[in-house]
Amino acid sequence: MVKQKDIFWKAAIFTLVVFLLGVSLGYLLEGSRVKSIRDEYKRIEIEWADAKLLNSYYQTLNPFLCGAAVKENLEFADRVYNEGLKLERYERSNKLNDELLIDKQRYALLKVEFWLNSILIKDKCNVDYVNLVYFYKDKPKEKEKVEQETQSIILRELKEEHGSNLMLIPLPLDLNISMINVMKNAHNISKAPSLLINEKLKLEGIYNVEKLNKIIKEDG
Amino acid sequence: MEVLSVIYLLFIFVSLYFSIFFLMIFFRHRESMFDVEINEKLPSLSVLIPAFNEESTIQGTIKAVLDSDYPKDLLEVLVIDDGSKDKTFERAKEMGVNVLSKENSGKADSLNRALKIAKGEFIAVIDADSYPSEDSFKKMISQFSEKTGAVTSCVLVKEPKNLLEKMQATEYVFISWARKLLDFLGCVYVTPGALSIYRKSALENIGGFDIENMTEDIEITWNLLRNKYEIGMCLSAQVFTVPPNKFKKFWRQRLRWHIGGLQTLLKYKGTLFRGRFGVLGSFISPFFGLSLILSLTGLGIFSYIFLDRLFYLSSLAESLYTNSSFGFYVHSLNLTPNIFTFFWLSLFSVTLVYVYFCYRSMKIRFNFNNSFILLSYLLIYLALNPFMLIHAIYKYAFGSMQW
Repeated sequence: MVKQKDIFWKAAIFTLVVFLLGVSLGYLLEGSRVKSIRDEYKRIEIEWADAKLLNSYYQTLNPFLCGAAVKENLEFADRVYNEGLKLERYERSNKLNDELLIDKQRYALLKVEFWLNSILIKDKCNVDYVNLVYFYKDKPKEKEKVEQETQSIILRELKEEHGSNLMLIPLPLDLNISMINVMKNAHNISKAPSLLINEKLKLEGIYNVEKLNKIIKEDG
Repeated sequence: MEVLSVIYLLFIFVSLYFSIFFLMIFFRHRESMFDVEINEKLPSLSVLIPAFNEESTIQGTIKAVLDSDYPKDLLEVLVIDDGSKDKTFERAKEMGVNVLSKENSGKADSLNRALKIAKGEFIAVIDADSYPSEDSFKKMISQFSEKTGAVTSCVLVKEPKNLLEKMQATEYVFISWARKLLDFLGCVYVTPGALSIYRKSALENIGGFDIENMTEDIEITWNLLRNKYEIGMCLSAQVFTVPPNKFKKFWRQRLRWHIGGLQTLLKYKGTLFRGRFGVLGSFISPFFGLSLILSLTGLGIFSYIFLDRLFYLSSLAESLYTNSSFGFYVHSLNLTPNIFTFFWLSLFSVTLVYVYFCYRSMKIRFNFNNSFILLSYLLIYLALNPFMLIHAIYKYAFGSMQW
């Protein structure tokens, strides 16, 4: 017979305690990440409301302050874009919590609103920055995943090159957001990755920096 | 949660359990790891040394046996030359011991034949390239109780030189230490050929060594256990053996061990989870089976993740190259730690605690050299094991088992 059988269950209890502590720690860690994203989102929402008011002021009461409106919009674009990247990174690392679907939908809505505002400012203030909407899938297939990551990296390079002259707005095609669906149908966007330049020119598949520069130059 | 995540967590749980399990046994018995009380009255002992082409080491082994402090009038030395093509027979004869010469038929058969003529009440089996310390026999014999069928020793590597030998030396220390811990539960599952002592009547009762099995030392142990004999382990009885010094030889040795293990597991599959077979059914065969599953699962998870990432990153690199974009962002690698990172760290920490106590207990000092070898052992050597197992399963399945 096995001697000292108690060691088997004592070890099991001890392991279970360590394991549950680990899982709890994991939940806490992932939960705190989600919380930090949500806190950040709340802050951005307030900033966005503030920015919208400022824009309204600039556009309705003081049309000579277009420069400030554009600057405000660009700064906001960068913050939203970076938060989106953080959200994506955290989601990839979350193993225990469910995916951050609602948070992603909220971000997407914010970005749509921002895009519409960018169109408006561009029109009202007659500025020449480029609105580049990048349509991607939140849950891509294997091949799409590589294409999307390639296009994302290319777009980051492009953004670094153009800085404030390029408004980069990534939008998910598959998060069931009505406004994005409407834009998708309006511009006949059927696959990811796709690009929409200045609300006119649709590009499907991967486009490298040189090609995009050429297109932007011709379009501009 | 994804299926892979669940498997991953289960794998970590089981690995963590066994690490904690062994540590708990150690803490309970840390004071008596090396304890042995030498019997005043010693029985007769026949030392069997099966040898095949061992001309370079056989004399050293015989000398170590003859130099032991076991009373000479109670000691019989019998070398079995298993059809060697070199001068093993002559070298053994020169030492003035009995040498049985026979055609080549394998180690198990050599031992069975010698068993028939051995006069001792107890039978010590020693590999022809192993060197027992002078007090090993006395200590091991003293560990026998009425129910004990066999007692095994602490097998260590003799003068390791290259990295492969040093990694094996590290492994042998861990194995011996863990085997002693299992001994406290009565769960020793192998009596290695380097040096083990058997009760002759027990060997005769179970019909001797299985000539079909590639690891007769595992099979004989399981057979003894099935027949209600107990197996002991004496950590203070040391034997030094010569390990393979070339990778090819090492791989072949491990293949043989794995195939022998599989043969034994299949032969005794009927004992799995059956309490009436004692420790064999309730712990050893399930533990053996589980370690195979763990090893393969670990390899499966690692390979899947590794190949998946490799495929993705290589496709991405190709795609970026094709599109003349050279900015390969760290973002693509996703270096944000997740819950599994913490579990791996916990498992690694428990392993380090285990190593620390094992080294301390075995009086091995930590230094730069040791640490480097230990790291190589943990990261390279252990990672090879599942691949050897797969190779062994393949060879076993297709019946190509020539050595």
